[in-house]
Amino acid sequence: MDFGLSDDDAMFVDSVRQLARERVAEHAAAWDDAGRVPDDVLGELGQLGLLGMEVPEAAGGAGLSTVATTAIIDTLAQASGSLALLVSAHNFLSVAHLLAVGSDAQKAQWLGPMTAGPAVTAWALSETGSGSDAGAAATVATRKGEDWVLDGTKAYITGGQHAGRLVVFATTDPTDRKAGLTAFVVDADAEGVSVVERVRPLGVRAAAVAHLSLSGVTVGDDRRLGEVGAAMDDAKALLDRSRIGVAAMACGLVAAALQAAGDYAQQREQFGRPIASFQAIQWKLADMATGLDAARALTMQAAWLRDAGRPFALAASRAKLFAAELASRACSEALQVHGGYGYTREFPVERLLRDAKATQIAEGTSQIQRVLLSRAIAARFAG
Amino acid sequence: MEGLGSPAPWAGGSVPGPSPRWSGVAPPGGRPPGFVLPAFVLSSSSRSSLPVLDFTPSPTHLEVAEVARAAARDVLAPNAARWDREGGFPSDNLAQLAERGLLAIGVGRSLGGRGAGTVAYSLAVTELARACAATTVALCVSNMVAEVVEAFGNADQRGHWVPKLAAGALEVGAFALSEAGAGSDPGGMRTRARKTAKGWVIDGSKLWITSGSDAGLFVVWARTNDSPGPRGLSCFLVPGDTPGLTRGKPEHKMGLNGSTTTAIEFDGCEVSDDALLGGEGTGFRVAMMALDGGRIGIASQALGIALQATDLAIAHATKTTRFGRPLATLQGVQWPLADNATQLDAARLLTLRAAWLKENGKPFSREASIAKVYATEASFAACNRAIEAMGAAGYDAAAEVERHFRDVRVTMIYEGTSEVQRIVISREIMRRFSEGG
Repeated sequence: MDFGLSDDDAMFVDSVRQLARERVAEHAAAWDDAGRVPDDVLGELGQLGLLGMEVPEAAGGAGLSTVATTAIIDTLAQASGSLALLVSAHNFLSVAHLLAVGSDAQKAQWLGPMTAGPAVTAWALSETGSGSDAGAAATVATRKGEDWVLDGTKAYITGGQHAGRLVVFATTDPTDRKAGLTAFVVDADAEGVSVVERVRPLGVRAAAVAHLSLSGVTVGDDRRLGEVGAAMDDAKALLDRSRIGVAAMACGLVAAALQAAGDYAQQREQFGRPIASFQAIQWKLADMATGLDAARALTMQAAWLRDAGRPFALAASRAKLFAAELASRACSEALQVHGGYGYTREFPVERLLRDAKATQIAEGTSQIQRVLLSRAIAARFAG
Repeated sequence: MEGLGSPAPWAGGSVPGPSPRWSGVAPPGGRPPGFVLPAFVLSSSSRSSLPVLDFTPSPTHLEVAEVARAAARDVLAPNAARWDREGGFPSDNLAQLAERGLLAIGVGRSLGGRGAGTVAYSLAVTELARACAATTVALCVSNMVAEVVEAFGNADQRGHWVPKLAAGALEVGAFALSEAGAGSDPGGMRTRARKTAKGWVIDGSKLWITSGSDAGLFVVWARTNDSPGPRGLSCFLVPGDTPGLTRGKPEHKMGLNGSTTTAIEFDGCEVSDDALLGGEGTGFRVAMMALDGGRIGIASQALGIALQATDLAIAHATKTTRFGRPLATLQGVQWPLADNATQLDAARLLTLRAAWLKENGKPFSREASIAKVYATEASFAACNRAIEAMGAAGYDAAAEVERHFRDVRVTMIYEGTSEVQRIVISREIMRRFSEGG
């Protein structure tokens, strides 16, 4: 196993680090309050190639390896968890969906604008009645001549408030679960598409999460992404990949929490000396650092397996489960090191903790990861 | 699934009906009938005759808990989400809680209090915190201010201040102890009080003062001589409108948005001789009593928040269908909720033990620390698991649980961080070893 980056990728990650430091970190709290990332920043990300990280260079993308994109999401999350989630979902769900099953004509039409930004493409799978059980989706696609008519409501859609396009999942026969799901690319300003609620979540508030309504939205068959009834299988593969992104986000949050807690513990004096000199504080930092190394190793392992063309789904589940659970714990500990200061919005740790909680839920809850992992373990013993 | 809702150890046969679940669907069957623990071994560390604690609730306990439950339902619950969203100081809530006798639960009746004791206080705080933790913390601090004045004040101070605090005539009382450089370490305090012919002049800055924006009375700690460490500290009763006292802007916090936390500046703030509480140099003793008692309140508050979050998660799990069956039938959801039930029961027992000891005039400092560190950490974990059991719906402000998660986080910090509780506990353990206990 080699987690090293090629020289080109390493340079790319450096440029992202610079952007995160100069254009993101100091604004992350304000974006969290405002509930969105400004378009000019997303536009800059687009220019740098961060909205088309895995799009081949020939098609105008950055053509990065999974390992490189993992380092990038980790880096972005150190500055803003919301931005990391937004970039991860756009790249690894929406754009990846088009790359995986889109026709040449569809790629020619949409890869360019998706990669340029500033508007992201939101991936609209979840509904209020179907989260981890995505097959229960109630949004319907009805055939009408050459076209499709979409009706239904999508819930908790990352980036949904300001997206330029949506990838919408719908069933072609709500009475038959076996009919499966079918995906469509829908322009966010198409007639019948509306934001019914701007969700006020605990964290990742700048990721502009929304509930979306589709009411009699008519699209041509050329907007169908993949085969009729096959979108659920496509989605599973995309979620496997995207879990590496959320795991990387969790790692970045832990790294930021460790940095903040370490800095603070050096400066803060109680009982006549820096609190960093107390074992109670030192042990928290040591546990955070140990956990971070383990989480990054699991995450990079999944990324490396994917780059090597080997099965990586279970490794991705393990990475996301471990990193997300660690993130909630470590960010809470970092807040604790800050005492009362950590509970205020003057310091970043309360935001890190709120954002960390999202990593335990997005792309399959920790419970679902355990279901997937235990099922695979059981199968191995049975086999 | 059995509602954690709570087989409360104090819930005997005569307990009032199921707890109201103001924010959603009640779990099937409501609150289970409960049980009575006949006796409870007091403490593993007691070397003497293993005293026991009777958990049979007294009529007073039941009455106060019921008053608090009704107040939570009628006064706090309808507006809790709005307070969280908009911030500010919940004067209106507190006035109504004062009317119901909840601002001086432990204080004697002759001074306008309920004279109900610490167990009743703990039960009431838990019920109130289920609905609005922010209002509850202002209430907790005010209750402790009234108790401290009752305990350390002279007859004039008691008669003047305590009835006003009980009636809500001062909005609330507040403690002004922490400073930027003196949180867990009160020995680092810089605020000074200088003796003059007419009384005292206070100069310095306080930080993290709960209810600092509106409190009508502050208990202020200041250094009155240069003795090192705690002996140089004294305590003063300073009315909120005293010239030279300036209230800072409320801090922007992660949670508890419906309570205010501010800095307080003292700039040549003159008070008369009768402002001195408990004699010169006794400030540290006053602080320890306030903090020890306060810890029981915070443990009770954390417990209430976590019980409510758990009930909401149970309601969600029973009414939500996934994979063709209720979420509550999946072990992945059942187990975290079982952990909540287990750990919150333990938290309740530890909290009531400390409350019972205090009420009965026995040493309770160690037990209060144990209750606080365990109850607050278990409650934070429980709120976290409640969100987890609800998935994205739990992360959404519309479902209320994310507020409980943000609110409960601070209970591991104020009234002494978890780390400070561990210092208190380990010091006590080490002392026993060094004494050959």
